[in-house]
Amino acid sequence: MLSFSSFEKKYPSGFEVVIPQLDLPQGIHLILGGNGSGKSTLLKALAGIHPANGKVILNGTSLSSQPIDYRRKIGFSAAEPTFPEYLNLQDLITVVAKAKQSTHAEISELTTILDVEEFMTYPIGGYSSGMLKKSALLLAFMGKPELIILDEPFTTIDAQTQEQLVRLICQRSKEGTSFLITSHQSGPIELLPVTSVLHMHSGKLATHE
Amino acid sequence: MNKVAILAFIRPFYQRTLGFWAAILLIGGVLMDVKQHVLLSRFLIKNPVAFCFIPVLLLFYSFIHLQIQQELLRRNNYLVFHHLGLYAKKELRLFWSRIILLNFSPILTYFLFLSYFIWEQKAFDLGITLWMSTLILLGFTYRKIRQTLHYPLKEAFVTRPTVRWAFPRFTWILLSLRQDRPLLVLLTKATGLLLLNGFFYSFQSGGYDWRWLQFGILCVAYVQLPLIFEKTEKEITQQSWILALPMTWKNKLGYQMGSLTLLTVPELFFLGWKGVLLTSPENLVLAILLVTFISALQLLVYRKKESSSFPNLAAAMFFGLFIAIIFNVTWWILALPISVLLVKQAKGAFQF
Repeated sequence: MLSFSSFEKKYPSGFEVVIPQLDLPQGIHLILGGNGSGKSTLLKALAGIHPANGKVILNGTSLSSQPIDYRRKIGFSAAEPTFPEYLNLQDLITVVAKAKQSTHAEISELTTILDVEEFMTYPIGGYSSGMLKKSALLLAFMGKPELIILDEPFTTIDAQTQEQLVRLICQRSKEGTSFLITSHQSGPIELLPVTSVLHMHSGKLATHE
Repeated sequence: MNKVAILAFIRPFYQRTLGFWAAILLIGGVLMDVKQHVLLSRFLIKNPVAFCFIPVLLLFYSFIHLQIQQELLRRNNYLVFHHLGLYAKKELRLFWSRIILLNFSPILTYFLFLSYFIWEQKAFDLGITLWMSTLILLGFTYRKIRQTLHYPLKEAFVTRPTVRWAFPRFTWILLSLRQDRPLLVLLTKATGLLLLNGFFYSFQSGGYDWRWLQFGILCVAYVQLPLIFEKTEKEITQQSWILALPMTWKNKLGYQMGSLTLLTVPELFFLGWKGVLLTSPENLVLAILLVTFISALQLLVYRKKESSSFPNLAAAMFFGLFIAIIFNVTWWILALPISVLLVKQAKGAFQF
């Protein structure tokens, strides 16, 4: 499903994430590691948001030579999502739906599962951190991407939404979607049928179980 | 979609170039009348060398516009707009052409005005040059934005200068203005210096007395209002945690005086330079008056920024000070009550 080789991401501060070679099959992959181990950096680069050196291929599509086709196959939710304060979730859904060819039925299903209907038309400036996380999760699932990258998806959301999210991940996984997930919360993660666990330390891949 | 385009890419552009537009309005709308605009247009058309400056200025404007849009797209809270890169070509062109045309609309309107005189003078070659360069630059802007959206976004790193000392707090405002609103700072300072120069130039003709320069100082102080607004906004939002620190009123007052003086360094330097050139130590009084007037404006902005009566109060203060200058009120009579109010403000809890 996802393979990367000679992956390298350097920061001016000297910190770098280096992964010589990794192949991940279709499934749910968990990335664990302490704060500052390079998990979010890796995920943002794999999502095609920020540049990195190396070869990244998702189901035959290369990030460097086919960036648009690659990004169409990816959904991403940041650990601490932020959006322009003066827009609302409905505006963001309109932007992403057009980009990802998302259907009304899918949007309606996701808004119900993630329980965002109530605040969809409110300005984002007034959202709590939980509302922001739910919004980011909804946008990440839109358009049925082949790989969904979730950075700390269970933080700040309530227990009920955590349960719904676990169910949604399991359902999408059965339908063929792959997941790359980082989490410091062990509870909901234990409910997921995880395919593999990657441990990161100081920008390097320590172990892969 | 129009709402998203306006709120996310048009409004922030005009917000960030507000100082530039304020200067254009001041020069083009207040200091120049229609007849002068017509004369300027005819001059530009009759002098091809002067006319060449228009495409150069347009190139500069396009560059600034592109920089602002790319900087917006690289912001963390704008990452959702990276999805625009996935739009079909036609949809992406439609989305961005509206934004680009609206952001260039004041320039395009002026070019239409200029085109009338090009047609009148039958200088069609200049017209073709003008509109071709405009079309090329608009197309280039769109192409660069599309390119930005297609590839992973370059991260915006905040790099701190390699200095070993800590910046004193009164310099933070200038550093953050330099980071976020460089155009506003540049244009406010340029307008202030231009005005000062004009007042000094006319004063040297001998037709005016000392009060003319004092009036000039008052005008220059009011030109700083956008900067004072920006400074206050940053102090109340980004640096609000400082208001809760247990600081003495002397500390707070020292910070205000330090930061306000730092913001007026170009004007103070100008006064010093003129003071030396004219061998007039009275310029020291002008410098004190400038800092006094700016402090008074700072107080007004702090207390009445959100109030609907702010424009009336600012205008009333202007005319009050103007009358005081006309009646030759001594400088310390103006400075004293403002100093007392400043101390009172600094003594209040969660103030300044």
